[in-house]
Amino acid sequence: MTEFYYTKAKERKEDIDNMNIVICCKFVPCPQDIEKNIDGSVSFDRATWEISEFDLQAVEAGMVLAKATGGKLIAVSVGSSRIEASQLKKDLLSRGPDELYLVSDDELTDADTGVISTILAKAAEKIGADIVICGEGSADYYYQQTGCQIGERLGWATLNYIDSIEAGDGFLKVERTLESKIEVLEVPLPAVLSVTTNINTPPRPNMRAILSASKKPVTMLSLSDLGITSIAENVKVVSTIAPRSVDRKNIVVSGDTMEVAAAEFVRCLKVDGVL
Amino acid sequence: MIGGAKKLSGGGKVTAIVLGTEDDANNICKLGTDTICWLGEQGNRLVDDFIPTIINLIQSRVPDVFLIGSSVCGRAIAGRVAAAIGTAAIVGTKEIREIDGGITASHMIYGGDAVRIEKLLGKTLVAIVGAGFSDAAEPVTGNGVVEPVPFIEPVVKVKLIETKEKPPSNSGVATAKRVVGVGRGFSSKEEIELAKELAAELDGEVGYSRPVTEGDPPLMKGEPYIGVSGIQIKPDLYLAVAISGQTQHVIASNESKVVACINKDANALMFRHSDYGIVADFKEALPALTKAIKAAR
Repeated sequence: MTEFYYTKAKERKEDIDNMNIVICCKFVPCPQDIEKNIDGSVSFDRATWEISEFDLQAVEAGMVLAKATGGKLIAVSVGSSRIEASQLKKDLLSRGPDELYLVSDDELTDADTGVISTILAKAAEKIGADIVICGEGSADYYYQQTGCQIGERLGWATLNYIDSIEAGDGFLKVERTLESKIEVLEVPLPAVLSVTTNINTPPRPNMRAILSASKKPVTMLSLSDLGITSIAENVKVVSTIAPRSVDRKNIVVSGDTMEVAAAEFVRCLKVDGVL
Repeated sequence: MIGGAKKLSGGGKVTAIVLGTEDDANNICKLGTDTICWLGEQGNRLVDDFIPTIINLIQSRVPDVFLIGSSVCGRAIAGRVAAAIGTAAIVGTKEIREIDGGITASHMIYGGDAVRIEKLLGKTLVAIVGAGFSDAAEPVTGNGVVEPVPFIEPVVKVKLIETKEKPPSNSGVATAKRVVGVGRGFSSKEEIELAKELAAELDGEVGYSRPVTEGDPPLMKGEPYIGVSGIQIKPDLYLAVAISGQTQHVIASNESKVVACINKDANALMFRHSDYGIVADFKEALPALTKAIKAAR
């Protein structure tokens, strides 16, 4: 795969009007639909697919920024041909994006973050993104890597764990909560930001948004449209198995009154030496 | 992390990249690392400003494994280094092994429903590890060398406008010996007080399940939650109150010595993952338990 790390320094965007705001969304099998087999293997064969829940906040953050700046909101998703399902496209577009780009190829089933971020970086360039917003992690693998990798590949300002985005005069003002403090930062454009679930509470799409979703443009891109000729994986999945559950005693404590039950409960904990 | 690196190296060389004072660098030396690449003090810079310097170090030294602590900046470093050197980072690394001359790393996926093992195809494994990855390194008498590393100016500059204090959170929950878990069944801060009173009696901390911190509207917005994507705990006692027992939560607490639960729904999954349970409304059970603990201790 062609490396283009730091090769194309996009010219700094000095004004924040008419921005192209790109949000990266992952479609994933619904985590609750996992099937665990006796041999420890897991399957999502019968799962319904949905937008990765952490990306809903990214879409809404993009929506709020697009409204504040008069920008255009463009969603991009990368994955196997499963992502072409019309219900997924409609669901995403009903949440606000003006249009959607899909890069689908069955070779991308289970592609690693290096591959996915390369494709997303190429797509962001092709679309002419001024800002790329990702969710902090995905509901299936939760690597929390994609946004950081896209930014590094593009050589743009790159920050993760963003709790708030405000449009400033030629820059974005963002807040990032670290373990011990909150940083308030001025970010030049173009930029790639990964947002936390604390950034907003995404509203449910209303009927009008749902109806208009099917009229919005969807563009299919192939890997070759993005100038990618081959996919080189960086890591290979060796195995995926359900962890063995921990054996517990499963004793239900009861008593004639709550006081009696509580005393017995406390006695058990004391015997186990954990009080 | 240094303990883990030393074990992994199997007698090979361990290099630490240190951001901090010269004393910090010298102290790391005493933990038995062979080389310390000292980045200097952070000063007014962001941790992220040091990423180009770190990338340069990894590119020039080509380690077999690059370990990074699991923090916000740690995850940013991992992602950007991985992209720069052409690999994919592993997050939440549980175990790293050498099998048939290749390096593999295991980590949880699907919110803890599965463990995935991945094999590195490139030269350097980039792995984010948490506190539980390995026992801490013991001080040794060694003769590690501190090498000051020149700072590489980032091409793109993010400006720090100000640093704000973080409101106090229940971050003590990660290391508490006894944890009272507050779940979706709680509907007000007054009800959470009942759990806090019990936690105080236990000399423990209150922890939250994800719906409590991220629900609509969230009861405890922005607080860390117990979950595979949040914080993982391994106290002596974990008491899950009004928590249904979803995998993401169970996996993040199943290394607790004893797990107990209170739930008014006798069919709640949490009972299957508990040593002891009480089927009751927590509003009655919590005050009774607080009283019983007071009497017993």
